[in-house]
Amino acid sequence: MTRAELLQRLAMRSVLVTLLLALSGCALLIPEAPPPGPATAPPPVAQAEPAPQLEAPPAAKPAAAVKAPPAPEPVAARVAVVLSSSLPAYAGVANQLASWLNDYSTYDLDDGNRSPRQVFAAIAESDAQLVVAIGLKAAKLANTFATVPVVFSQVFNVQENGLVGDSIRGVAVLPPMDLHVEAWRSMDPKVRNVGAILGSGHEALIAEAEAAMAERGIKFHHAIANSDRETLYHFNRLIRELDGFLLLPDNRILSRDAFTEIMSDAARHHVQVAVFNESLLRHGATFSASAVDSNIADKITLTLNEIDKGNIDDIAPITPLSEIKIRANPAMVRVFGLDVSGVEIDTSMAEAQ
Amino acid sequence: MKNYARAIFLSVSAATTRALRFLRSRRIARVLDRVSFASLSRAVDRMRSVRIGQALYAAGAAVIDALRPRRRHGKRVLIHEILSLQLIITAIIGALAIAGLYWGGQWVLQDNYSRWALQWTEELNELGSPLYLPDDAEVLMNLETFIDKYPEIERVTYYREDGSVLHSLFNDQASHEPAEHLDRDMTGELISLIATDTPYQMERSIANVRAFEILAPVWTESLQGDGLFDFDPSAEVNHSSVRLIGFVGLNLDFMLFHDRLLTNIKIAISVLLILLTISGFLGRRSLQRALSAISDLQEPISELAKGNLDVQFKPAAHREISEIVEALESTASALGERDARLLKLANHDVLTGLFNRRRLIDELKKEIDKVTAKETRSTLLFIDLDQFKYVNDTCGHPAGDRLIRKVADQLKRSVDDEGIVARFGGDEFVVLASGMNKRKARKLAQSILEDMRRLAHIENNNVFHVQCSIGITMITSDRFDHNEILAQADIACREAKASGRNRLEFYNMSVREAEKMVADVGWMGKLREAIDNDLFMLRYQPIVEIATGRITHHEVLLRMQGEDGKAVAPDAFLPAAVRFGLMAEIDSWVVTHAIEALAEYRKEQPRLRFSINLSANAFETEDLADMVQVNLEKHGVPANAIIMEITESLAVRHLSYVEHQMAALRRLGCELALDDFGTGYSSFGYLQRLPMDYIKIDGCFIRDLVKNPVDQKMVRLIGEIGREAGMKTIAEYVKDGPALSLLGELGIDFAQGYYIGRPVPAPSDKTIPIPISSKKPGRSNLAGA
Repeated sequence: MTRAELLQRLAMRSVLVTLLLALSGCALLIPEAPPPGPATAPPPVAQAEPAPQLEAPPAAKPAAAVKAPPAPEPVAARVAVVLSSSLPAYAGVANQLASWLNDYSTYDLDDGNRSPRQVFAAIAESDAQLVVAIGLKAAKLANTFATVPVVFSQVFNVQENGLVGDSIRGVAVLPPMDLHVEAWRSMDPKVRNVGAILGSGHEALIAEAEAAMAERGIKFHHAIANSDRETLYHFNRLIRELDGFLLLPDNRILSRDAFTEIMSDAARHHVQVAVFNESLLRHGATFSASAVDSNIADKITLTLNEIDKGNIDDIAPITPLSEIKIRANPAMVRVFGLDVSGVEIDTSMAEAQ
Repeated sequence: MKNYARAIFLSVSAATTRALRFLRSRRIARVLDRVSFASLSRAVDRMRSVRIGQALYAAGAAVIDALRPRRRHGKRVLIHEILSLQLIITAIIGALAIAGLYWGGQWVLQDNYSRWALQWTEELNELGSPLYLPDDAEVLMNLETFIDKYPEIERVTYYREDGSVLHSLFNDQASHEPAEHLDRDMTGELISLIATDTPYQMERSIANVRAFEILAPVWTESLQGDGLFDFDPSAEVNHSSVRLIGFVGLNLDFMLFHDRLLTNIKIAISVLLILLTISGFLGRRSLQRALSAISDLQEPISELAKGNLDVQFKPAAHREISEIVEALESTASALGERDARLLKLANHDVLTGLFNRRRLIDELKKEIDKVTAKETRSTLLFIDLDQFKYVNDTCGHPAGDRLIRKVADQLKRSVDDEGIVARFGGDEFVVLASGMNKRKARKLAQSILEDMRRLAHIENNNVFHVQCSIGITMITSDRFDHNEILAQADIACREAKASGRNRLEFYNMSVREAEKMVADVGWMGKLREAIDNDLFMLRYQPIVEIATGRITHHEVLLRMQGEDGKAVAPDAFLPAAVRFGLMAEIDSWVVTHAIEALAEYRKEQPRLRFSINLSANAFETEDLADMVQVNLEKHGVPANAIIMEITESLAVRHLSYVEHQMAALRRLGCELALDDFGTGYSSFGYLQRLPMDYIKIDGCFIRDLVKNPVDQKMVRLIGEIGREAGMKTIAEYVKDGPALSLLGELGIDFAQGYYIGRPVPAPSDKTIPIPISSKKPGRSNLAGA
C-alpha cells in the first residue's frame, strides 16, 4: 500500500466517523414525532400517484425497540373493523386498534358466517360512522360496499387494486424505507449496492427507497418484472453488482421456486438479503424489516380521528409508518460480519443453531 | 447400431487374427492348435466384403469347430476338453464383458445425454423468458452465446402460447431446418405437463441414442395473497397461480461427444481383449502345466498297454498322480514278473526245466540263420532213450518222470556250455550245439553216450541203466529248414536204434528215409495249410444203444481234404501233426467246429450229442475247459451234449494233467469217455482214479469176437467192471449183426462200427434195426461159453 493510499483511507475513515457522530447528535436533537392530524404532509414522491407520507425516523440508531411516538386520542365515532381473515398479521393490528376504539364492532370475512354483502349490510345497519379494513380483501370490499369512509391497512398493491378515492385512505404496509436503510447501514456500513425487483405500480416505493439509499451513499438497483421468470432473469443479471437485495412482498412476481433460487443464488454470490417477514429468516435471509402492529394501529387511529373531524381531504392516500422492527439471522450475521448491537436477534434461530 | 456392431466385430476379429498369427509365428500355438486359423481368417476377409451376418455365421462356425473336443482314436481327449472349456469360458467372459461395456456405455451415455438435455432445456427456458417481452436484443445474444458453447444443441425454438414459432436459434454447425408450428394436440399435451414432476416431453430412440428432441412448456407462476403475510416457502402447499406463456423446443445431437466416447469404448474393448487373451493364454499354460502330470502318463501307459513293461514313469509332483504312478509301476513290475514266469513256462518243459519243443524250434531257426550268415556249421543231436517204456510200464509213470528228470540233469552236465538241451517229447531230447564240426559232434555224442551208460536209476530197489540212441545231423546252411533238420536227426536216431541201440548215427539219407522225411515235411506243410484255411472236415459216426437200437450220440471224426478233394483219414496226417507240434491247434479246431456244428444240427435234432476225440496235447493246455465253455456258451449248446474222449494210453501216461482237466470238464457238465480201452495198460486201478462215464472197448477185442472166446471173456469182463464202476461200455468196430447180437448178450451198452453206420457228413438219429438175439441176454451164441 502506498503512502498516498494510506492517507486517502485515513481521510475517508475520519469523514465517516465525523458523519456518524453528527448523525448521532442530530438524532438526539430530533423532537418526538408530532401528534397525528392535519399537519403538513410530505409531498408525494411520485407524480403519477399520491405519494405515501414518510415519517421521520424515530431514532438515529435503529433498534428493535424504537422509541414509541405519542399516544393517539381514542376514537369517539362508532367504527366497524373488517378483517380479511384471521391471519396473525391482520388480527394483531385489530387487537392493537381495539384499545383506541370506544365503540366498535369487528367482522371477519373469512369466518364463513356471512357473505361480504351481508357483512357490509350489517355494518350499515349498525350505524357505524367509519370502517377499518385490514387486508386486501376487506379493503376491496369496503371500497365497494361501505357507505362511510374507509381506512385500510396491510395492503401492498394499493394502486393495482384501485384503493384510491375520496372516502378511502390507507396506512402503509411496510415500515419507512428510511429506517430500513438506516438500520441496514448501521449493521453493515460497507453496503454500497442494493437491489430490488418489483411489479408495476410501486413507483412511490422505488422513489422512497432510492432517496433513502442515496442519502446514505447506497446505489439502488431496481427492475420491474411481470412474472417470477422475469424476476429470476433480472435477479441473475443484477446479482453480480449487489451487496444486498431487498426482497419485497410483491406476490405477483414471486413464486416459491423463484424465492428459493433467489435465496440460494444470493448465498452463492455472498449477497445479503433483507426480507419483509421474520419467518423467512430461517430460509437464509440476512435480516427482516417489518412493520410494528401497534404503529399500524396508531396510524389508523390518527387517520380515523382526522376523518372524524372532517379533515379527510387533508389526509394522504397512504399514511406512512414511523416504526420498524428489525430481526437478524445470527448465522448470516456471522457470515457477513454484521454489527448487530441494538438489533434484535432471532433467538429462536440462535437456539436452533 | 449396425455400424457399431460391425466396427466392434472388425476390431475383435482383427485382434484375434493378429493374435493367432503371432502365436503361430512363435510356435507356441500348441495351446490353440485346434483353432481353425484359416476358417477364422476367411470369415474376417468375408466380413470385409459381404454382409456381417454371413461373416458372423462363418466365424461362429470356425470357433465352434475350434472348440469342439478333439478325438484321438475315436475318443475324446480329457486335456483338450478341459483346455477347450477354459477357452470357451474365457470367450464367454470376454463376450459378456464387451457386451456389458458396450450396452452399459450406451446406457450411461443416453442417461447423461438426457440429464444434460434437461439441464440445457431448463437453462434455455430461463434464458429465453424475456423473449416473451418486447424485443430484447441482449436476450438473443445471450441465447446464441449459450448454444454456441454447446455444439450438441442443433436448434432451439421458442413458441408462442398458440404454438407458433417465436424465435428459432441454430447452431452454426447444424443444418438450419426451420421449426414447425406446434399443433393443437401437441400444445395440449405440453400444457398438461405444467407444474408436474416431468414438465417436458423427450423423444429419443434406442436405435440412435445420440439424438434427442425435447419440448417443454414455458409458464410463469405467482403466489397468491397480497403482501405475502402468510408466505412460508417450506410449506407443502403454496397457493399460486400459473400462466402459460409459450413453449421451448430443443433439437440435440451428441454426435461428436458420442463418437469420442465410442472411440474410447473401442480402445477399452481392445485393451480388455488383449488382457483376456493374455489371461487366457496364461491360464491355458497354467492348466497345461497342472495337467501335464496326467498327459505325461499317456505315453508310458500307451507303452505299457503295448506290452512294454520296461517303461519309465516320470516322477509326479502331485500326490494323486504320484499314487497312480506308483500303482502303475507296481502293476508293470507284477506284469513283468508274470510275463517272465509265463515266458519260462512257454519256453521250458515243466518236468525237466529244459527248453521245450517250441523254444527249441526258435533256437534252431536262429541257428540256421546264424550258420548261413557266418558260414560256420552246427550240429543237432536227437536223443531217444532206450527202454524207457520198460521203466514206465514196470514202475509207473511217476518213476518214468523221475527218470526223465535224471536224464535231463545228466544231459545238461554232459553238454555243459557246448550247446543247449531241449526236451522234444516223451523220452526224446535234442541237443543243439553251435559252431561244432562233425568231429566235435561225434565226440560230444560219444561223451553223452558214455555218461548215459554210467547213469543208474534206482526205483523200487531195482537198478535201471537207461541207455540212449543218438541221431546226429549237421547244420551247414539254410538249405534245410528247421523241420527238415529235426527230421534228419530223428531219422538218424531211428537208424541208431535199428542198428542196435546205445549208439550214435550220423544222418546219412537213404532213398527210403529221404522219401519219409519228404513225406513228413510235406504233411507238415499241408497241415499248416489246412489249419490256416479250414481244410479239415468233420464226419459223424453213430453210436447206438444196443438194448433199444436208438442212436444216442455220434463220434466226431476228423478228416483232411486231400489234393484230389477226397477225404484223408487221420492215420495219414496225425503222426506228422504230433511230431511237428500241431496237435494243440488241431484239437482246438475240432472242438470249436464240432460244437458249432452240433449247435446247428440240434436245431433239427434237439437230442443230438457228439463225442469228441482229444489228443494228449489238448489236455496239456491249461485252458481246455475254458475253451470248451466259451464255445458252448457262444453257440448255446448244453455241456451234457458233449462227450470228450481220450485214449487210455494218453490218459494214463499224462495222468496228472488229465485228472485235472477231466475234473474241470465234468464241472462244466460234459461227459467223458476212455477210448481204446484194453490195448494199453488196462490197469483197472486207473478206472477208479479217472472219472469216466464211458469205456470204449478197443476194436481188437471186437473184430473176432464171435469166433474168439478169449475176446468174449475180455469183453464180458470189461462190461462187468464198467457196470460195477458205474460206467457204460461202448464196443467199437462192430461190423456185423452177430457181433452186435453177441455184444448185447455180453452186457455191453452201446455199439459203434460200420454195421451200425459209417462216418457220414451229417449225423442222423435214425434207429438201427437190432438183431433179436442181442435183446435177449438169456440166449447165447458165445463161442466156447
